[in-house]
Amino acid sequence: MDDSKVVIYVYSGKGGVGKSTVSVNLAYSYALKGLKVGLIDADLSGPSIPSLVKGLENTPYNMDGLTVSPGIFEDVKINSVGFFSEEIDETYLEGPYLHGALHQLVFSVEWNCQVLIVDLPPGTMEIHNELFSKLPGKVLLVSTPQEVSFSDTIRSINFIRKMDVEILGIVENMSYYNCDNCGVSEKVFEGDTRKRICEPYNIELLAEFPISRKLNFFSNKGVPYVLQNNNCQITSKYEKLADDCFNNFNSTKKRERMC
Amino acid sequence: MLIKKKSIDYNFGMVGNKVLESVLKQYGIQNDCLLLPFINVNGKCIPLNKRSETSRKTVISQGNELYILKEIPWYCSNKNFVNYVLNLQKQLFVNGLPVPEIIETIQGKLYCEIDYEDEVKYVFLQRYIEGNSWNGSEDKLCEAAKMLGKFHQGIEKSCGQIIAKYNPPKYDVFDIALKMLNTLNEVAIDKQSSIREENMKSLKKFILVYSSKVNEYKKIAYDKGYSNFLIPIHGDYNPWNLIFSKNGSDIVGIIDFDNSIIDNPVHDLVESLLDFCLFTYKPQTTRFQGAPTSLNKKSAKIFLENYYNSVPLSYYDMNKYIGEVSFAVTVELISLGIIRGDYDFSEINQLMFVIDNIEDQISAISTS
Repeated sequence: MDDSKVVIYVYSGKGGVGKSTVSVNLAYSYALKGLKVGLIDADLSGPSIPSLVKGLENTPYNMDGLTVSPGIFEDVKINSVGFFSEEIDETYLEGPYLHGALHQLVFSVEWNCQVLIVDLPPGTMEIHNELFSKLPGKVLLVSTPQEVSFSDTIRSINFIRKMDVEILGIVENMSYYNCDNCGVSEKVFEGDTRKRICEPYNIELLAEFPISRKLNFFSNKGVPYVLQNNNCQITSKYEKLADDCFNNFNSTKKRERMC
Repeated sequence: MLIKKKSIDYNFGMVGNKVLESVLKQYGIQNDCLLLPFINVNGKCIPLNKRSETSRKTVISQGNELYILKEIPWYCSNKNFVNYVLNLQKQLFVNGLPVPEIIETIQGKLYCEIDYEDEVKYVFLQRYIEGNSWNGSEDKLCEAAKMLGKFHQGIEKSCGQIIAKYNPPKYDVFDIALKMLNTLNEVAIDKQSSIREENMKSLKKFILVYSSKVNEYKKIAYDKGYSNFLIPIHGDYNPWNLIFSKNGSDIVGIIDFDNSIIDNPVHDLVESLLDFCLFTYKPQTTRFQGAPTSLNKKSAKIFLENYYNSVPLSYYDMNKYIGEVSFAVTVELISLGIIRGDYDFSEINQLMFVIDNIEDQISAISTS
């Protein structure tokens, strides 16, 4: 794989915080900027990307030798086990098979991309170790402003730092409810991500995304939100998030060059 | 096919970790090897466990080498039989037929014997052959028929010692059809409460009529010389057990000898003829899709012509009893389809129509 690639792991210790939605929209934000993008659904036992990006589910996945060639939807190359086996939940990939599956889906693939977004499964499993060690990148954390989420996020931070992987920052999802009709915003959860996570753990809050009916509508339809909603707040936030993450990689490279 | 009543598991999975650990050690395969869960079937990605209905398999990649680790299926796992099929495969490879090379263990054995959950599992390693599967093309049909002819001659010439040493099972197509009908009867009894009355009536008629007719046809075929020509046969020469070259229609691999028995080669000829020219399959599986309607006569003619052009004249004697054999094999395969649930009980009358016509259709093509 090409070393110069920007690899962003989208991660959360807790399921259901909108990690895959962030992964998809971040990937398409880069694609809209004209970059070559790959999107990997690394959740082999509970893949979510196929339901968020519809259009590839009926296309038989091609293989080149024993490497799974990614499907391409709106210029983004995507690999997810969910696309080629609807009964994948009955296929328990563990131990050595998991390593083999990653080899076929990720490591042996010629991505030819500038940005690779990896939607990681929640929790702390061997799949994370394998990916972090073989495909160097940085982690973008996703959390919600809830106590129950904070404790998982703290565990995630400790885990990621133990793995010696840099954290780009945190995305607070479901920060507030944004009424699509009257435009009024209202906090839904009481938690304070800045105080509980950002300050004590020295992590930058990169974006706050609302709960939005419209976003939910597009997710349910399997259409990446940013593709269909050009001039709106959420899309602008994703654009900025994409820029911030990308700049972080560039500044690291500059630092490395200077050293 | 040795028949025991046991359901087929379509989510059979890959070889389990415990078995793997022990087996890899016996083959001297390093722990850094990769076990690949997805395989390439005609360029499409298929989870390996979906291709494996009766035995677990695993693709192993180590360095530049690719292997397939395979458990001998439950229906044929007795030691003598395992020795027979693996020695047969080894001999065929040595004789230059396109079968996968069997890799021996560090101790020079053809397989590993593993005690697992109160049963013995036999696992062997063979080289992975890259290629394509059957896609319905006429070129591949011709090659499949020609290769079957070559295969029969190769096996006839070279396997005398293996037969003498391992005394492989000897069944004929009629015995197999009768056993399959018997299994179907057991299934009918098990599922009695869920089968509608009119369907049960048709099913009973199916079993009764065809059991009697298979017995009758066996006698006729034997009178015509069926038992005068017995050799080891493949026993499951179907489109999915053939690997075609990547860029052409040549056969680069004949696989899965788990159903090999001693029988008249007309068994392979007719079974493959029906598999290629009568039955249709669910995508990328060996399960039948929809009740067959009629034999594709054009394909059947091509298949028979190519087979007979590749064998000596003595093989033409098979034409004398090919009609009776076609009947028995169709009964066997359709019964299997009903047992597996590929066909619905409501389709039995339609299936009986196919069986009743097959003998005449194949006899007519083979005489022409």
